[in-house]
Order: sequence, then structure tokens, then C-alpha cells
Amino acid sequence: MKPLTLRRTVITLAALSGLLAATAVGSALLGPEHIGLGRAVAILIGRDTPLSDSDIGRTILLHIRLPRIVLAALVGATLAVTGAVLQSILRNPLAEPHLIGVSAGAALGVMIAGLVELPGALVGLTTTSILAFGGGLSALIVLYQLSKVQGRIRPETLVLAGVILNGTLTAGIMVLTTYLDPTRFVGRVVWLMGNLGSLDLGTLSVIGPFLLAGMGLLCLQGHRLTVMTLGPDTAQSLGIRAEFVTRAGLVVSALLIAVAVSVSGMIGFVGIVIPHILRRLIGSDYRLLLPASVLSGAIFLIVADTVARVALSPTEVPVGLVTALCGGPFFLSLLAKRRTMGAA
Amino acid sequence: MGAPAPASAEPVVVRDDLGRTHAFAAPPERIVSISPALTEALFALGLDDAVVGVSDFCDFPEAARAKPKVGGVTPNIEVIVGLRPDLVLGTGGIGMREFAARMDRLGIPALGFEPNSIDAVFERILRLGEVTGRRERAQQLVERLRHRLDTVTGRRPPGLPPRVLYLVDEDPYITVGAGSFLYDVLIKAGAQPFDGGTTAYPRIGMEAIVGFDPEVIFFADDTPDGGERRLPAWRRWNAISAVRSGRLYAIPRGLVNRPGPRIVDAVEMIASKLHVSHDLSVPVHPPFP
Repeated sequence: MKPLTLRRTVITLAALSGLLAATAVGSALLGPEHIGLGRAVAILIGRDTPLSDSDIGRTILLHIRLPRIVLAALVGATLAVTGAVLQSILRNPLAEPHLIGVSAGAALGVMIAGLVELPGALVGLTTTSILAFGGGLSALIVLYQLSKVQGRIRPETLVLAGVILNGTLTAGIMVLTTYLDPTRFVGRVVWLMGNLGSLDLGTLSVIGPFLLAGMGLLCLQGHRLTVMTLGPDTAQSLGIRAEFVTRAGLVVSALLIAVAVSVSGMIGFVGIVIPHILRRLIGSDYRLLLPASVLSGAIFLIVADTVARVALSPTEVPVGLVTALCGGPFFLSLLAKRRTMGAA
Repeated sequence: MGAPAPASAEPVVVRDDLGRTHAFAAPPERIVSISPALTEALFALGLDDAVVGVSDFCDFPEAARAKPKVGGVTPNIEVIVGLRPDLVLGTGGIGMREFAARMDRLGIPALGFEPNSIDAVFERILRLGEVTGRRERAQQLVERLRHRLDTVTGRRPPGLPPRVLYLVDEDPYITVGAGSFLYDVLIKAGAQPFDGGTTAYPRIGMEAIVGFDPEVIFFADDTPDGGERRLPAWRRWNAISAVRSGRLYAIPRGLVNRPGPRIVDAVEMIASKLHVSHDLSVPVHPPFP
């Protein structure tokens, strides 16, 4: 791969940004209710005239589709960029957001939400989201403590602890399923398979800046994370504070994952497929890979969620199934193509 | 009360919803029910003493709570065998087929009933009456239930039925599909339910809900004030007629989700909420007179 130049960075990110904008507009125009482009623009700039009293175009565009597209973009970006970061600091190409147990902690919170109802909703978040974040955060604290060996975070220990934590928490989820009313059970399981339709713009304005700030912090670590893929000792000799980058990268990523899972469930494949595809297309320099992951993850999840909304309308498919069914085969075909070309 | 069939009579042959057939030479005297709906039916047929075990979910009538428990989603085979039943009753769900096959190997007759409409519920109650030697009592019970159901349908106000959305869960939104048992309950109560497709519990988006514009929304919720409690949060969906008129109601899960004798209670309860503007006061009959 050619060395990274400013020109290539700018062109790549501009192209991805344009694609993201086009995807968002396309998604906003698709759905069970027909809303044309002209009407959509009129609604957005506040110059629409309702066709009749029962006209619901405005409600649907501004309060249903728009929050959903923004959330899909935020969650997709978060999963993709944290996947890339974890692959670097854990020096493990299989690392992905759901590997380290934080998602399973959040999932346990989701199941508990099927048994209890919190009084009132904080800043518009549902009981499910609040308990999911609590579960994810608790899992992070346990993981962090377990992975410290003689005061240092050991990647191998962390991956091992994450896998075991995942298994233990999944068992906890299964225990809870026996206590749930069968009709409640359906909802909980469906929620876990990916769900982007339960937030409004007010709630998004609370979690959106948090996710954006976290992703910004990670993107600024591009140079350090590129060097980190060479191993902590090499990184240390090149003047990188490896231990600090590992810890900060882990904590920031895990917090972002906990927030993303608590508002959207377990959406798989974004965190592993997007960074790997990008590495093949634009190279492994994290200075470009990270912002490109943000944009591509957003595009991918908006497309997947649009398919989830529209494919079997009015029934919705859990978006996690769409990402797995599209992302999995696509990635495998990429591997197969590489193999026949003898380059992999 | 129907007299118990004499032991010398022809064996009663019954077919269940799993396609299994069993011949009963005499009415069973020790029955385990792992279906809350069938437990209610057994008590409604006056078989209180014959019920020797129930599932963890069987909470009605009160006397059912006192019966030995045999487990929840996966019943404990050992506990069931220990109760020495001569009939085990369950649903027609996925796990039931394997469960019934295990009962076969243990020499215990097992039947699974899964009615998908109110008429089918009545028919299963009659079949249960046949097996248990309570034919007359079952006929009387079904006659009463049918009469109450006809009363509700007869009082339906003229004009189009109101558009109704029944939500089993809200995050994400999950409703009931056409062809499911609950869908029939809504139809019988005089509703035009949201048609979410053929699956039993389809998941739907808010866009589809706003597009359907329900006039009444029911929530599966065991707390009586569940409808009013949700209203503030639903205010942001003011485009929905039900929200503007405040017609959000809670319906207890155990009542509507059970294809048993209390299903007519559910129809009456839903109908009374639907046609409230017509001042229709439906008397609530005690289910077990």
C-alpha cells in the first residue's frame, strides 16, 4: 500500500462523507409511508404545508426516521472505530466490540429490564437502556481489574478474561430467561438482536455528543495506534507510552461500546468487518483507518437498518440479523477472492 | 355435574393438537397440567382434586397456587413422574413434542392442546370434558361462555370497528399477528386489529404504528393504571388518535394470553374499553359460578 499522504487522506474521507450523506438521504426517503424528496426538503426547512389534518409526513420524517438514521450512524461508527482500536491495542485481528464482555454485561441488564420497571425515565432513556449501561459498566470494571497483572494491562489476559466473562454473563442471561413471562421473553430477545427504533431526538442530543467526543479522542490516537500494532515493546522504544495508550484506548472504547449497546442491542459484525475491509482497501495506517471506520461504519449500519425497516414491512427484522447476513458472506467472499489472487 | 363414566364403558379416544391419539379406559384421576390455560379449564370442570401438579406459571384460580409445582419453561420430568400422574396436559408448543415423546417412553399419557381461536378453545374444553368424564359439565361451561361471547358481539355498535393496536412489548414494539389466538380475541371484542403479518408476535416500527393510526392502544401489563401511566411518554406521538383521546389501556397478560375459560373475560374487558363512548357496561361474570 502506498504511504499515506494528506491528499489521499482528504480524498478518501471526502468520498466517504459524500457517500454517508447520500445514504442518509436515501434512507430518509424509504419506508412504509411515501415521502418524496421535495416534500422531505420542505419539512426539513420548516416550509411544508400539511396536505390534510391527518397528514403524518412531518411526524414520520422528523420524529421517527431522522432519529433512527442518526442513531444508526452513531452506533455503526462507534462499533467500527472501537473494533479497529481493540484490534490494535489487543494485537488481535479477531478483537471486536462484543469480545470483551462489556456487551454481555449490557445484555444481562436488558434481560433484568424484563423483570423490573424503573420509576420514571431519566432523560428519555428507557429502563432497558439504563440497566444495559449499568451492566456494561460493571463488566468493564471487572474486566479492567482482572486484566491488570503487576500493574500492567496484559492483552492476552484481557482477551481471555473477556471471553470467560462473556460466557459467565451469557449463562446469567439464560438463567433469567426461565423467570421471564414467555411473551416478555420474545421482546427481550428481539431487543438484543439489534434495535435502533426506540430513541427520540432529545435523548440523542444527550448521548450523541458523548459518542462523538469519544470517537474524536480515538481518532486522534491514529499515529500511536499504528505503532502499537508492532507490539508494546517496539512502541515503547519508538517513544509511545504503550501502557497509557492501552489503558486509555480500552476504557474509552468500552465506555463507547456500553453506551452503544445500551441504546441499540448487540449488533454484530460491524466492528470486525468494517475495519478489515478498510485495511484491504486503504491500508493499515490508523491515521486514515480510524476516521474512515467512523464514516464506513455509519454508512453500513444506516443501509442495514433501512433493509431491516423496509424488507418485510410492516414487520421489522432485527438489524443485528441484517448486519450478520450481509456482512458475513461479504467478508468471506473478500477472503476467497484474496485467496485465489494469491495475495492473502 | 356429569356423572363419572363407568369403567366398563367404551374407551374414550382423544386426539390432541400434536396429532397424537390416546385411548382412556377410565377417566384419569391424577392429572399434571403444565399449561396455565388447561389448569384453569380443569378447575372450571370441577377437577380440583384430580389435579396433582401444575407448572410454575399456573396462578389461577387461587387453589392452583397450592398445588405441587413441576417447573416452568422446562418441566422437571422427575418431579412429574414422582407425582404418579395418569395424564399430563401441555400446550402444542415446540418443546411439547419432545416432552410428550418422553412421557410416552415412561408410559404416561400426554396430550398437547394449542387452540388458535376462541372457537378452538371451546372445542378443546369439550374434548377435555370427554377425557376426564366431565362431558356434561364441559358442555354447560361452553354453553355459558358462548352465551356471554354472543352477548358481547351482539352489543357491538354499528359502523366500522375501531382500529386497535395491541402491544405485547414496547421496546421494541411487538404486536400480535393475524391468525394468532390473540388476534381472534381482538376481532371478537369488536376491534379492527393492526395486521402485522403472519408471525405470532411480529415486531413493528413506530412508522407503521403512526401510519395505522390506532384509535385505541392496549398494553400487556398487569397493573390497572398501566394505560394512564404511559400517556405522558406517548404524548410525543400526538399524530396517533388513541394518544390524542387518551385511550391507552392496560390488559393483564395472564388474562388475554391464555387460551382457557377466562378468555371470554378478556373479550368482555377489551370490548368494554373499545365501546366506552357508547356507554356499554358489560357485566363481568364470575368465571366459575
